[in-house]
Amino acid sequence: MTSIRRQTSILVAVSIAGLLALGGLALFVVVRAALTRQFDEVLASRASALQSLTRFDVDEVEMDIAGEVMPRDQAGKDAEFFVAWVRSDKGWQVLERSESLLAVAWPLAAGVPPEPGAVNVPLSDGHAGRSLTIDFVPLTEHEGTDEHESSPLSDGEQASVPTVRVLVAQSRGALDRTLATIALSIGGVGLALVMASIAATRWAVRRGTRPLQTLSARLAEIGPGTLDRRLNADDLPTELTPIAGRLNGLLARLDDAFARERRFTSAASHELRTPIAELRVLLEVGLSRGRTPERWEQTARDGLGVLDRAQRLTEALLRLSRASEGSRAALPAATIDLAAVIREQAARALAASGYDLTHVSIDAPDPLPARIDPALAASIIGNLIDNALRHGDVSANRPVRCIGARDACETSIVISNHAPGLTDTDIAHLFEPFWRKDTARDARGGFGLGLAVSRALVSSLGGQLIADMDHEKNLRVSFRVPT
Amino acid sequence: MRVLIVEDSAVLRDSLAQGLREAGYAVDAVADGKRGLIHAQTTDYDVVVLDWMLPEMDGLSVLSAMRAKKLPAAVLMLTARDTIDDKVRGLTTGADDYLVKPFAFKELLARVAALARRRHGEHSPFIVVGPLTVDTAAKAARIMRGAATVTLDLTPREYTLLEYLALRAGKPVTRAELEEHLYDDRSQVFSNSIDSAIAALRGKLDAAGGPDCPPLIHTRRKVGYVLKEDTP
Repeated sequence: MTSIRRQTSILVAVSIAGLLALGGLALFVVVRAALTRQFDEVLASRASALQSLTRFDVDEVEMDIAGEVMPRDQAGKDAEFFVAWVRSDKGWQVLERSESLLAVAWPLAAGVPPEPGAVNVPLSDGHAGRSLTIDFVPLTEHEGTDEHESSPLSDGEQASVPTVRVLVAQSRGALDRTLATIALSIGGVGLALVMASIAATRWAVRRGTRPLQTLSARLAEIGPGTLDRRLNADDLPTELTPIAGRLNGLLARLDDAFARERRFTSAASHELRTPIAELRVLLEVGLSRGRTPERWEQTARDGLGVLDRAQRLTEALLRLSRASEGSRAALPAATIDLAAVIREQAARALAASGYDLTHVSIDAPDPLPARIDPALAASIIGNLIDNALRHGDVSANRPVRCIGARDACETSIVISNHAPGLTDTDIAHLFEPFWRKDTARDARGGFGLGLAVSRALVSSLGGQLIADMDHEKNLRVSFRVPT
Repeated sequence: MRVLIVEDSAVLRDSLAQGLREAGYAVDAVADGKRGLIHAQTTDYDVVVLDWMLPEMDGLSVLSAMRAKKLPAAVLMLTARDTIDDKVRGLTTGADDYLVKPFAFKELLARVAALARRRHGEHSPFIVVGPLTVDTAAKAARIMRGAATVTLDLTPREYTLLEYLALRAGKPVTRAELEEHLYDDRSQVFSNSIDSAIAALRGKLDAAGGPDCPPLIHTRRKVGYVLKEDTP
């Protein structure tokens, strides 16, 4: 399982470590370049010092180095030395060499002219060093002038003055040690920073994700028995407020569904227990005293009545169960006329309820075609008309109205009846199983399952069954299916 | 003992009424809450058997209205609701007992008998008045005759009359009160019904108790009757 805290911690720590490594490397490169330049400048100043000490006097080149240049010239780890060559007809010949070079024969720097700038070279003692080579034409010493005064040569003289090549070199030992110290420092500080940043990241992420834990803990406190609780979003960060809002919405829907389920279970258990209680008391009381055959016959008839009702209840519950579980019914190939279905069902319902034709009015385009399963359509429409006749305030002046309509999107049938006793709260419960305006069990033989079954059937058709009340207290139940 | 049944199921209502009448109770039965409350207000019932889910006015509302009016009748709630919450709700509203459907009729009878007894401050099923013992559980009465015990042979109506007098032992009971508790709306009550029932009961007590037995039922002029051991 992925953890936001873990992932974020790793991501931030790796990023910081990478950035620190890059920064450290860049710093090291800059420092090394600066130190090397400084090192090279020292080499260059030595070379130019040697150049200024070199004179051409009449016929030979001299270098006056007695104690003036490289006072530290000596053998050793940080050895520094120079070699000067002069070009003559016989090639390059060593003019001078520092004592620190001891007996080592330093080879003439290759390449003519020499490479510009300083280069890394291996020293004779195996250490790394840097050397700088310059070629120059020494100044000429003139008679009669000050010993140290020199002057540039004329063109004629210039040709006969030999070129001098000077190589100055120095061990990189000190430079490399300094660079190593700097690298070590940068690395150490970098490592410490990385460790510190990991700790800081963990802390920050833990702190940052604390509201998530708070939300999770609050959510964990809500169980099936406490679905009426809501998450308090007041102290949550703005990022979590919409999540808490959605969760609260979900909780409200869950609570509603659980409450509906509880009401259903309670009502179903009540309905199922009643006939058992009736039969039990009927038989127990019947058996408690000697009865005449006539009394027993009455008891048997009462018992059958109870069983009959229990059977109807079981069948209604099964219908509801099947309708609720039914997947969306496949659209039949044939189109049926819903107006004809309304007429048939109205006639059947009127005959069953004892009302006459004046108690139902039908206003629908004839035909009213719809692609719908004919048995389902008859069941739904029949249920709705039965319900209206049974529970509505029906008279010839206030008949049950069945209004059919059709447009491009849907076909609708609205069945309305005068229902002065119904309130808006009742409308909200109308489709709940076992809901009855009056809890009387055998007032008119209903269980309060008809509308629940109808709605489940309509849902299986992909349609809608909704109820509302107009201002004249007419209950309108609309049955809509896609055209 | 007079019992009111408020139950909307006709089968249950009729069977309960019949069973309770056969057990010697005077029973009135109604089908909805409103009529139940009206009955409870106009008659001094000993026990009201009240269904929870009722048309017009549910059982719980009837119960609260009864308790608000301080009606003394004991109430046995009868319902298919069986959760703890439901029971607690029923009992805290003022029900004296609670019976979940379906139930055994014998259990209902026993509970009604216990409630009726307690309604008159009697907790033991045996009420003893001198040599007379009324066993409210077995619905029988016995009387001491010397060292022997003789069981009285009583009709249900006579037993109920004796039980009611025994529950109120030592206190005078008016004829009107006896009529209210012993006869239901279906009974035809004549002006001398109570007097003749008392006469019959006295006769049986005297016959069973023998010549040494002191009279137990005394007439209070212009008031009614009182059951007590006459101590000289």
